[in-house]
Amino acid sequence: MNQRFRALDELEAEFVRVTAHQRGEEGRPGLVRRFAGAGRTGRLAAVLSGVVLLLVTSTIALAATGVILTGSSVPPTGLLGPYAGAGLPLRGQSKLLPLQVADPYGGLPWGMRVVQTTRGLVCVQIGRVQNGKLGELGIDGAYHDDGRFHPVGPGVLPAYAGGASEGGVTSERGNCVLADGDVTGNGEAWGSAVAAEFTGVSENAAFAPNRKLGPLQHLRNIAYGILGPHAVSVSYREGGAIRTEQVVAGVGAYLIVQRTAPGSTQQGHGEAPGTDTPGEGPGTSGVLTIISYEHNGKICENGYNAATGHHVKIEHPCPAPNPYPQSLRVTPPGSFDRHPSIALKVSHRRVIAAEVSFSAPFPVTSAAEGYSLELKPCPSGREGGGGAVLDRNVAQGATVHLVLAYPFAARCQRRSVSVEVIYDSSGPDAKRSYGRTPGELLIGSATIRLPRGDRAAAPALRRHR
Amino acid sequence: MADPEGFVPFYRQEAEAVLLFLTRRTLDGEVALDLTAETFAQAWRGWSRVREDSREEMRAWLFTIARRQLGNYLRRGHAQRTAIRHLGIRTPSVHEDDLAAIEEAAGLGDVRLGLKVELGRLSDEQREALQLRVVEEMPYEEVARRLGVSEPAARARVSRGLRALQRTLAAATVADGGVS
Repeated sequence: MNQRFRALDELEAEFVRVTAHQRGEEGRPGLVRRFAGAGRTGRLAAVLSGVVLLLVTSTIALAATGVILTGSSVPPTGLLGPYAGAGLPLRGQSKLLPLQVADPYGGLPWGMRVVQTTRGLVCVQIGRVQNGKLGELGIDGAYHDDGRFHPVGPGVLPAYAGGASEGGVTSERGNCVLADGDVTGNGEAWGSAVAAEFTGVSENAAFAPNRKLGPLQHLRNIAYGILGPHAVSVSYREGGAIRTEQVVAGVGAYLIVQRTAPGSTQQGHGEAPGTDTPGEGPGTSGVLTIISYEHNGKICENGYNAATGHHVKIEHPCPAPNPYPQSLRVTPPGSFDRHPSIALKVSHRRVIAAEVSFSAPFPVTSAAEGYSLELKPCPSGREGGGGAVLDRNVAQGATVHLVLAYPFAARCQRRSVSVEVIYDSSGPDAKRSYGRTPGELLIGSATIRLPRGDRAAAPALRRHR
Repeated sequence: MADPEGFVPFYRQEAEAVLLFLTRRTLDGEVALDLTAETFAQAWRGWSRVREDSREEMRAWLFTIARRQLGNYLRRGHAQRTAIRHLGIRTPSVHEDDLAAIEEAAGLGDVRLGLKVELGRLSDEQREALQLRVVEEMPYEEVARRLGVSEPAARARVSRGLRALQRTLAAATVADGGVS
């Protein structure tokens, strides 16, 4: 710990704890031995039995909360099965888009396809196209350098080359960006925006991992995305000129492949702030300069170069969207008031976790929905916060268990801590509680109290020097 | 694939640069710390899939995430907390002296001075919100009370104003440790 700012030291301690936890270094906590909560101590037996059942049967659910009470390691977000995380590819739902772009050095054209998953997410993939199939070339160490074209299977969700910034999933090879890059509850499905860029990549859109790629002058920059049904066209820089291309209607897909500038040694990748909403945000990636949308029967434009921070000249700017759509109904307070039950995990008389359980008022059927747990921050400032997220499907009425690590760690919460249970949703059926962000519905709250004789535990601070 | 052991040293190496980068663009040390926490939480979730390239490439990747968090904040009016919640991370407290040190290191005094002209070009609504929050440094609760709106609405108003000022902020902060 040697940060100049105390807050960064404290945040470092959190990452030390989380990374150690996920590497399986944490000790094995003791069994649940005590129940506390909003005055419902008489339910100890029921909670105990529920927790024991949870430990036996619900590893995925626990992994999704980021806390494993049995000491198992937590895999990174990825393919957890058809009903958790990103889900699995839907059979027959892999679709090559009608979009083919020439490579600046020749050879097979580039294409783009989308793969839908069982949890309503959309994976966007790019690659070379031959005979109507997306694939990769056997070069640069791939496929034993056989020089042949290898189609990517219809159900393959490959990794986002070079590492996902948030939503990429690890499976096979190639590139993949999930719509909205989010698989933990706020994910939006088809129609949401993806905008990604690869700089200085090979004929397979790969970086140079531990092998030498071709000559630097044969590298290319690729920008691609889906911008939703409102998008009409994109404008981008090509040498010293600005070019405009129509996007694929209905999904707003675009794909741009350009030579890497001579002498450039840059290699990188990233997700750019594309958007499917006219007027919302800059809406362009580094190479793009303008995105045109159809808005109420007229064409309008978003333009802002996110890479340089420079505005571009906009003839017909899109109006700013209303952040609170009128169609989003506000649910009166208390409409879905649940009374979650609380079980504490205690190790060596220190409370290391709290499990919050409640009956689900709504089913979770996709990554666009979910339940989360939020700690109320301390009244004097920002301390506190944190929580847990359910990252899997649940049936209506099923019991949901969310685990909160170190509930009494904040200085203002040494004796008790208030938690809120939120149902997260998006899309036209999204719900909202008064005073909360659209899509967040408060369904219950509870106060977790530190039992007499026990102490609050805080994450262990480890020094790595 | 990046070594899991390398994440905390990576954090230690880059956290301050990310925090100052975000502070300069949000003019708010508290919001910047939230965004920094979410940025590193997202980075940790993608860590197993990152190839351990040069420091510059790793840094570029990290700042891509930071910019995305910033973009989300400017669009939505609140910091995304998805990965933080997923990992069960608690955002730390910011003490008054710490906050002052962060904002001083970010050079916010100069940035604020330079914004006076630009503030005049905003709508009355946005200017007033920014004046209260950024210049007078009031908590959002007080900003909301003064404006007669809910706290989420006050936050949204401030973030929309900041979005309108991004050109100025970007121009004033081109020297963000080589990443702008």
